[in-house]
Amino acid sequence: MGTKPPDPREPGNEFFQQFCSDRGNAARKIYEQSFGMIRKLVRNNKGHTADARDVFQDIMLALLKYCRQSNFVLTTPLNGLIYSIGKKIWLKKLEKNGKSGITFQDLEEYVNMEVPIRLKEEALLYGHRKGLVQKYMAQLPEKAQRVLRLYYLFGYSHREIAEKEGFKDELSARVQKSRYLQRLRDLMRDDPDFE
Amino acid sequence: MKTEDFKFDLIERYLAQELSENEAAGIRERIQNDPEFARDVAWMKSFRETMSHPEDFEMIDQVQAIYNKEKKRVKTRRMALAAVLLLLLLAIPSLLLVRPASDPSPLAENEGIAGQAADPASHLNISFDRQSPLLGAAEDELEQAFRLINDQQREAALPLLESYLSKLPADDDDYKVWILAGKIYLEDKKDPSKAIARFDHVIASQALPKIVVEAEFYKAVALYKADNTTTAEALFRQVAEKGIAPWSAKAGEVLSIF
Repeated sequence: MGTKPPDPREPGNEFFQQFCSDRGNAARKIYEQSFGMIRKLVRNNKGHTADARDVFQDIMLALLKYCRQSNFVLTTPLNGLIYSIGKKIWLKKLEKNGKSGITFQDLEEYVNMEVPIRLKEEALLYGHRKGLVQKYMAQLPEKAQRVLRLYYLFGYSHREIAEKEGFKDELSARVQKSRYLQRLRDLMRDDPDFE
Repeated sequence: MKTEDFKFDLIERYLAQELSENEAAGIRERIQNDPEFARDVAWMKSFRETMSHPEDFEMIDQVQAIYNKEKKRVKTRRMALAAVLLLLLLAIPSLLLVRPASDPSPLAENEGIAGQAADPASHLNISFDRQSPLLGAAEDELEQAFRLINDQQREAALPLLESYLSKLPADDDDYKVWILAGKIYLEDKKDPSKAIARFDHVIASQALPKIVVEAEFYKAVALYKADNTTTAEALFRQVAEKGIAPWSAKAGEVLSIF
């Protein structure tokens, strides 16, 4: 098959580095190679495919966090790290749903690849919270989404937002942004997962 | 303009420590006396912490796009399968009329296992007779490979199968062909390690459980061929316990000779 592309199932840092620098293509490759493993893990432990999708998304965001740690070097197969993160995230979700008492069934073929990682509760819920915000933001009008993204994600000032989005002045941009936040708050009010 | 219009702006400036001491004291007092307001402040704090790193939100979009594409692919495949089944149903009466009496049953590959159980590799004699309408250059290679396989030129078919697999779009894998390539490595090329790599690809994939268990069965055979009998036995046992026909029954038969 010619030159062998990096494989998340094989040891080394190469694929992880590729993921950090070319997230779009690498995300698809990781999905192909690793989603089956995560789905199996979740479904063997009281979950469904939809849960596995949520866990997989959270794992990808956890991997991005590792990318941002400049001193992080992966010495094991990426799949080992993915399995370890996925297991911790799914255990956390089971705990949140009052199912922490189950006897967790590891996947025999992957358990030896497990990597000792320490993730605080905050880190385990990191991807979940982001996913929730994304989900609820999508229910706001386009303009509201743009204003909130410009301010929080891209660091625009109120004055710049006023110019870009056609508000009368800075104060007007502030008030609109505050109203959009109120709408988002109302949408998320009944979701116990975002505390 | 109502005061409430500024509520989240005020909370934001409080959290960013941009208020005067008097204004901040007013907010602190309201937090103490108004539980709903206190919850709003807590929410705003969480929200501000969550709204960082735009690349995270791009990743969420990318993962959602992968899921959506996958759902669409599964739906298309189901529709194609339904169409093929319908065509088969329509074709069955004419096939029955023209089929010669000596023609072996297409199900023969899965029959008579008890008599062959002395060697786990004896289950590898599976012929492929896949004749579906295929499109594109990659599929041409696949058809050519199947013709060679039907002519008993399995090793010659292998490069075509590998080439076909390498050309597939990232989201449109063909797990049955991965298994077939693995079986040729195992049975014809006598290379269990390369065979195991192909079966592992399927096992770690999103393939249907029935296909994954098939790959597991053949991986166990390959491990047995590689003299890794302990791991092979464990994997056969795992397959047997899954209760997925016909692979679990086959694995049970094999286990009886260990």
